[in-house]
Parts: sequence; C-alpha cells; structure tokens
Amino acid sequence: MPWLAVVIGFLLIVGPVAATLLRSIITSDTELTLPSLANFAKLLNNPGMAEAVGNTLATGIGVTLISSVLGCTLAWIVVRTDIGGRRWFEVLNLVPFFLSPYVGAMSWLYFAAPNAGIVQKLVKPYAPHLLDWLNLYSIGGVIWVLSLFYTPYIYLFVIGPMRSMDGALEDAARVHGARFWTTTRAITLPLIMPALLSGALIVLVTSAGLFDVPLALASPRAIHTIPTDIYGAVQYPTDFGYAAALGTLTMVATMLCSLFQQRYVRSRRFDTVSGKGYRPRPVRLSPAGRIGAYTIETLYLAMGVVLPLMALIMVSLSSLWTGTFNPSRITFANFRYVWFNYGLTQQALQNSLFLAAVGATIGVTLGMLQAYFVRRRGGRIARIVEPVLSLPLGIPGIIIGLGFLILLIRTPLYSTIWIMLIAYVAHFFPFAMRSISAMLLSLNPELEQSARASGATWLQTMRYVVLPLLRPALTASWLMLFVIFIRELGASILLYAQGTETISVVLVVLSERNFGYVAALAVTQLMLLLGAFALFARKGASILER
Amino acid sequence: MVAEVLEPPVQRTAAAAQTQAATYVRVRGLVKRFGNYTALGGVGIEVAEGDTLALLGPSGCGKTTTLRCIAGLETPDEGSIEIGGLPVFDSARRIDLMPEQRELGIVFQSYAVWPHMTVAENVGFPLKVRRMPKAEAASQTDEVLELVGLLPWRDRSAMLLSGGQQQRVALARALVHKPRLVLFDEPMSNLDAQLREQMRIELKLLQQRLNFTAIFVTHDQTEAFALARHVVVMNRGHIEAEGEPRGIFRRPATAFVARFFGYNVLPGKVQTVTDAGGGAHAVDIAVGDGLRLGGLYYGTAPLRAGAPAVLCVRKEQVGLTAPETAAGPRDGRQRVPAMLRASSFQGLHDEHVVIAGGIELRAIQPALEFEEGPVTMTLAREDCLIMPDALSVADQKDIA
Repeated sequence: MPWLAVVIGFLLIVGPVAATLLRSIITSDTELTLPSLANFAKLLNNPGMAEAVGNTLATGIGVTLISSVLGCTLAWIVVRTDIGGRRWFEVLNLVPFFLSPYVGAMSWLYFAAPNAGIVQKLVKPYAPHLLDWLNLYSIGGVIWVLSLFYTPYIYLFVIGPMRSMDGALEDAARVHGARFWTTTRAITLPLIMPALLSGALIVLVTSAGLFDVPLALASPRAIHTIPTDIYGAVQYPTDFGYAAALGTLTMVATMLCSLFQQRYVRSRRFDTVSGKGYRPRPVRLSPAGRIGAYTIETLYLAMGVVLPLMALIMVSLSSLWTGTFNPSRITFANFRYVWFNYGLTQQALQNSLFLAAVGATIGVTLGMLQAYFVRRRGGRIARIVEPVLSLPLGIPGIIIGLGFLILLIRTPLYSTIWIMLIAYVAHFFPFAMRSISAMLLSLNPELEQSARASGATWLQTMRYVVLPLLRPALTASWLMLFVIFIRELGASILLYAQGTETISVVLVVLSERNFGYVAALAVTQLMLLLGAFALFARKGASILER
Repeated sequence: MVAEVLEPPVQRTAAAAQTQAATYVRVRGLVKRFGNYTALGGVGIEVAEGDTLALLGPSGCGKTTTLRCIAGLETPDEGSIEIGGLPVFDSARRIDLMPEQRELGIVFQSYAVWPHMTVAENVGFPLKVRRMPKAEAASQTDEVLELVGLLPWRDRSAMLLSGGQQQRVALARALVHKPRLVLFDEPMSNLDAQLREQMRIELKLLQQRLNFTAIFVTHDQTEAFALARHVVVMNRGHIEAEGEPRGIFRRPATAFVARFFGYNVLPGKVQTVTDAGGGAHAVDIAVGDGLRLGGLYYGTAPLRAGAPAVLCVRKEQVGLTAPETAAGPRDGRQRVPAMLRASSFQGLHDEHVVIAGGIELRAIQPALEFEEGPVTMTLAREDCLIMPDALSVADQKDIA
C-alpha cells in the first residue's frame, strides 16, 4: 500500500506537468501540427512579458526580504527574550498564516485604498496630501500584503532551531569576550541560517507565484504579473498554447528553486543545532528594548490581523460603504443577502467544505503512506522519492490548475468538482507527507518491530502502534490542509464551472458587484478558518516547527 | 521478586517434546549484505531447546544483525533459519516468514515500550493481536505482570515508568504469549550498573522457571557469561569461537578472542617446542627486545621454530614485585625486569601499565606498595597461552 501511494503521488505530479509541457509545443487546438516553439516565441515578443517577469521577481524578492526580517525578529522576541505574554504572542503570530491572502488584500483595500480607504478618509480633512504616497494598487501594495501573510512561514522555519540550539554555543562566545550583538551576528545568525535560507527560498517561490493578491491589487491597474497573465491567457479568447508556454517557464524556474532548496537543506540538515545541550538563556531586555519588542509585536499583529479584519467587519456591517463607518447604521443586510438570497453562496459553502474535508482526508492518507514508504521501506530509493514528491509545494496553484485543465479538459472530469479535488490534493499532499515524515523520523522503528515480533500483522501494527503515535502530525496536517483548501483560489479560478464554485471563487465574482457582499462572505470564510485555527492551536502548533 | 510459576508451556513440536536437548534454533550459512558491506559472512548457530545462548562481540560484528534475521526484522541474502523444526527462512526454498508468524518474543535495547499505552495494554498486546478473549487475556497479562513485579503499575501510562520498569514491561510483553524463543538485543545496556546486576539474576531465574530458549546479544562479556550457558563470539560477520563461558574465556580460540576478553597479546617468534604431555606443547617464544618467554600451546597444527606466534596472558596473571637483583624465590615463575609506568585505582584492585622488553602490558593486582619505576614482572608458564599467529577467523576468511 505505501508504494501505491508513492506511485499515485508521482502520477499526480507527472500528469499536469507533462500536459503543460506538451501543450506548450502545440500551436493549434483544432488541427494536428508539428511541435514547434512558436508559443515561446510569442511569449518573448510580447512587450508586456518583461514587465510581468520584473514585477513577479520584485514581488518574490521583496516579500522574501521583508518577511525574513520580520519573521526572525518575531521568533527571536518570542523564544529568546523574557517579555511578558510570550506564550500568547507565540500563537498569535501564526494567525495571518491561517487567513486568506485574497481576503487580506481586499481588507487592506478597505482599510487604506487610495481615496476610499478608512485611513485616507480619516486623515484627509487634516492633511490632504499626507498619504498620497500610499497606493495599494501597485507592486508595492502586493509586496506589503504578501509580506504580512508570509512572515509566519519564516517564523515557523526559524523558531525551532532558535529554540533548540545549544545555549552553550552562545555562552561560549560571551565568556570568551563577545558582546551581545557580536554574538548574535557571529554565532546565533549563522546557526539559524540554514533554516532561514531554506524557508526564504520557499517563500520566494510561492509568494511570487501566488495569484490571489496580484488579482486584487495589480489587475485593477492593469499591472502585469506572471500569475495574472496566465489567468488572462485562459480567459476568452483563450490561448492555451501561450498559457502553457508561460506555465512551462514558471514551472522550470520554481522546480529548480525547490530542488536547490532541498539539496541545500539536505547538506545542512544536522549542522551544529541539536536538541542536546541546554536551552539558551532568555535575554533580559532593557526597558527600552522591552518597549521596542512590544511595539514590533503590536504593529505586526495590528497590520497583519486586527486593522484589516476591523475594516473587513466594518464594511460587512455597512449597507453602503463610503470609507467611513457609522456605528449607528450597523446592518446585517449584507449577511442576509449573501447567506439567504444569493443562490451561489450555499452551493459554494457546500463545495468548499466538501473539497476541504475530503481533500484533507485524501491528502493526509496519501501523505501518511508516502511518509511511511520514505522512512520505513524506501531504503536508498527514499532519498529520491521525498524531494521529487515535494515538488508540487513549490509550483504555484494557478500552474497546477492550468496543468489539470489541459490534462483533463477532454475527459468527463472536466467541469466537475472532482477535477478540483484532484488538483487540490495534487498541490498539497506533499505538505502532509513532509510533516508526517518528520514525525516518523523521530519514532524509533523498534516500536513497530516489537509489535510485529509480538505477533501483530502490518495492518494491526499500523492501527494499534503507528497511527496512534502519529496522531499529532496527522491532526495538524489535516487541519492545515483544510485551511489551505478552504481559501484556495489559484487552481479553483481556472477549474470551476457552473455549480462547482467555491467560496473563494464567489468572493472574486462578487467583488465586481458590491463591497459589502464581499466583506460579508469573507467574514463567513474567515470564521471557518479561525475555527480551524482554534482547533489547531489547541492541538499544538509544535508539529509545524519541525 | 516472588511470583507464582506460570503453567508449563505447550511444546510446539513432537520431536522437541521427546528429547529435552533437541536443537530448537538452527541457523545455517547466514549471509547478509548491506550494499557492498558484508554484515554476515556465512554464520551458523545451533541452540538447544531451553538453552541460553549469548552472541558476544564488539559493535559492528554482526551479532545484532543475526538476531534481527532470526526475528524476521531483516531479510538475509543467503542461508536458512529453523525455529522449533519449522523453517522460517530459507533462501534456497524461498521461505521467509513475517516476524509475526515466527511466534517469538523480543526485548529491544530501547525497550520499545509504546508510550501511548498503559503498562497492561503494552503487555497484553501480543494476546490482543492473537484475538484471545478479553477476560483470559487480562488474567494472563496480570500473571506476567506479577512475575516481573509490575502488577501495582498495571494501569500506569508507560511513559511515566523508570528505565528499569520499562525494561520489565518489555520483558513481560515478550513473555506474555508464552513463546518458546525469546530474543534479547542488548537488554541491559541502558540500565545503571547496580540495576543491571539485579536484572541479570532475575532474568536468569525467570528463564530457568519458564524454560524458554533465549538468545542474548551483548557486547559485555560479564553479561554474556552471567546470562548464558553457551557463548558465541563474533567478529566482522564471522564466528570466532563458541562454547561454554568458562572454556572459551580460559582458553581463547584465537588471538582476537583473547584480546576481546582483555588478555595481553604479545607477538613474537617461536624459539623451541617440546612436548609437555596432556596434548600440550611447551613453547618458548621471543617477544619484544630480546625477551624470551615460555608458554603452553594446545593447538594441533605443528608449530616450528622461527614461525610467528603470539603469547596471551590475562591481566590478573601478570604478577608485579619489587625489583630484584638476584634470581628471586624459586616458585617456578618466569621473571622479567620491567618498568611500572602508571597505576590507577579501580576499587577492589589497581590496574597497572608496565613496559617489559619495549612492550606495554596491563596488570591487575591489589594495590602495590611501590611507586612508578623499575619492577619485576612475573608470569607462570601455564598462564601463558601460545597461538600460532595473530590472525582471527574473520581474517582467515577474508584472506580465503
């Protein structure tokens, strides 16, 4: 059974990738033509292409830099200082990770869009030109919103090594004469560097390829990015050849990055950061340092969670949004309309819940069997299997969607909910595989072997020993997949059809009609996500730190 | 620890029931390779029903691999394994039974106690997977828990137990389904010294009471000698020596075994060989810088003057006295001028480093009343064993 899951995993990767590659060298939909590079030529001759590539690269690099600095700072404050409320901050810093980037972008528009945002309206009467520089409809805006969203990724990557590094390494530097800042620069940073760099590479690839935020902030001003260009090429009049060529180039770039990242992690894996030794001493902050730490924490949580959510809730409760909130005119009309009068919502809620629950279950099952293969059966093959099966994580959702669209457009699966389910699972099963595999690594194989020697069959061993021991990882990755699937947009937007809309798709559809409706539905989706987060926080976020 | 005696276990084969000393485990020509590395180079072992065998050797010698092959946790490349007359592995006949089909018990070095189960759930697991009715399984579990002294902890989570208690859980779990063969992989190496001695005795008593066949893997000669009636010494995937503990310790089969047991091993050249009666030869060999020592040779292969040989002598048999100018007392011991380099106090005795003829030796003696400097080293001829060369069985196989 484990090997079967590995084979399915391979097929889920090879299918869309091969379809995209093949489609990129076919120039006509209707007649058989010789393979040619005409699509790529068209791509290179497109004057908007250079702009799209530049913008996408700028997005990736900008987001990576900002979220790296923020993520490391927050992690350091939480695990290495003595400020009060550390435990709370430790969990709260993760909240943006669970929010939808598309909703985040919309909320930021409500909060600070040019001319119409809450801040703008507040400031305008006193200083009309103070906020002229603040234009969210730009690559800068895209970078800003994405950075807030991706900071927890870096935070999760570095918090583990930062917490578990041997305190003696730092103390040795201090005892031998290094000051605090020298120690941080010369000892602490290099020690967390492998974790930071591998996290940064993932953020670089995934943030650059994310479709949600550019759709909200770049498309309205006709600013080109690669994900929105792919979306554009699939809209009427569709040009699959062009989209496939664009997808092929992106796929090659992201796969190279992911493979590099994995090779890098492999070569640095067990560096000097070990669980042994003793925990590093917490740094006693000076009063000024304490204020600084609180300010950073408060600002991050305000920017990443509180302010945009406040704006979102205000908009959802106002009948006509003008940029100012009037508490005396609170109304639930938007919710009433979206929940009961708008036909799509209930259908979309059903679809989203079905996709998230079934997709997460399939994803975790596949990932568990694959992880078992990698850690217990694979031997030398496992060294290839794990990195290859991890590849989809680095591929943008819209490219995965495109791949399955091309692959399955002529099959009965097309325009059903199943094509979306397949795409969801194909994109994120590696997430489950990796967290379960990490936990399996820490389980002594003798625990299973003694069950076998006690007379249990393989299935009994799985049922009574392996699965119960893996439960924390299974629960955590199920909840994560659930969250990811509830907010998924990149693949859904290409694959949905009438009757298979998801909440995220309906949000985009509604955004052309009324701010209040979007906000009301976004709040609904948010409640689902935060519910999953609450469960997750209770079950222990520790699993993600591996 | 007092406990009731378990019912006598059911005999698995008719043949085994007839002769008490019938071979219960038979391993033949076991070969296991990991890539280019040969972990086992054709190992053969036989263990009689109800007997205890220790596989002893340095780390990497293949003892654990052998045990895991018997348990079915590792698949050998060649050879055959029979347990209680039932072939469980045979490369020629393509037989390879799953671990759960081999009806045995195993205690791991890590104990492998399942942290998500209570003590009773851990111990009752082999009965549960055999679908024994619950009431019967519970009483049988309690019986074994009583036997290992864990009954008061039966509903405690296994995670809250001390190392020694976890070890008992692992032991009880390996015994609860009354297997006729129980395997132990370094069972004591995670316990502290005092607990280890206590467990050795308890384990020995348990084995005698329940009369299961046991195979122990250990790198500790004291443990092997204390637990097992037969010992197999392994080295680089080959068997160096086998026999009862006293025999193989007092007369090591090869220089490797001697060195492993802590003998001083001095390489040299044969000078004279004379018949000493009783199947032994008195041999004089030249070692180091012009030192000539005599010892006994029990081998059958002819030994010629000028051939390389080694002299092996146990640390306790290296005597040290104050330096003498005259010949010393006429006690028949060979006397050699030596230098005492260092002594370290080890409780009941001291361990000394001495240099004689440019060769370093270790001596274990009661504390001496003299300091580092010149001493006289004394050796009894009958304590010095001569062996033809320094090669081990593994070396010879490798050369062949």
